[in-house]
Amino acid sequence: MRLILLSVLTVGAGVALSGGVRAEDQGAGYDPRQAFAETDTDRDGEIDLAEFHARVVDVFYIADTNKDGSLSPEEYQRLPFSADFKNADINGDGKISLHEFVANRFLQFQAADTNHDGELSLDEVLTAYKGRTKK
Amino acid sequence: MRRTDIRRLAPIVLLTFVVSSCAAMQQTYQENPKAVLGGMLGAGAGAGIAALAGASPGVIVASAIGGALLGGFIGNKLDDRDKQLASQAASRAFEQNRTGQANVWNNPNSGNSGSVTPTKTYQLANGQYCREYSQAIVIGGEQHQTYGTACRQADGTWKVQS
Repeated sequence: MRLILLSVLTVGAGVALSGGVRAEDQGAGYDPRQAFAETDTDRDGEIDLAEFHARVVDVFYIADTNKDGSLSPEEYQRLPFSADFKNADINGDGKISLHEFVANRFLQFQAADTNHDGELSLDEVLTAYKGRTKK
Repeated sequence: MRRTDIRRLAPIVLLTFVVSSCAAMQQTYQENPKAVLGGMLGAGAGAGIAALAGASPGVIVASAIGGALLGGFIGNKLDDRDKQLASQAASRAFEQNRTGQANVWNNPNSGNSGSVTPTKTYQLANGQYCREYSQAIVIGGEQHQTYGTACRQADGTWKVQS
């Protein structure tokens, strides 16, 4: 579960990848508040499912460096705090489709949504971030 | 919600987003078919000119991007260098930029400038990527804002859909 929370931070908080793998995406210099602000595009103080989904797709697109529509093990492992590839590869075809990626990230969204209101608050994101840094 | 429930939900959510994107494109056509057709005609004209000049296929596609990006009134106000810079900025933005990250171009000779910003990314059922974008172009100090969708082709180039 801790790994899941870490990944939520990475993607759900909008950390993820942007224009390639940035230093802050690898952990160093990462500002969860800034990442939250980037993902909360309607500026209502919560990351809802639509904002989360948009970010996840964006992360997938940037991570798919050869733009073949899926993530190879190498592309997937470049994502910070990625879950085990075999676990993420639901159909076992050796690559992560967007469908599989979204499914996994929505699991992580649910895990971080501790008050179960269907949205991620900054507090929930920061809590997940603290869990990451304690690891 | 349990893990199995979410796995069932995810494709529905994904499909909803893809369908909504297609619906948005259709809505654009329904609201302003002349604008869409004008963009398509602009793309065709740009590709035709490049082909007549003996350009390589890659150049032809790049011109098609520019034609569709800059068809109609705005295109008429830009010179060839402006259009080239705008097309290059768009291609880079579509290929490399995360959503919300702009690519800016500026032509000091004409005084015109612009930017292209991806606003949404999605994937078609065949794995093809498409990106919605906004484009701002400043001509003679006046800013013009346009919106569209571009999809990545098998050869790595981008084709503007609307």
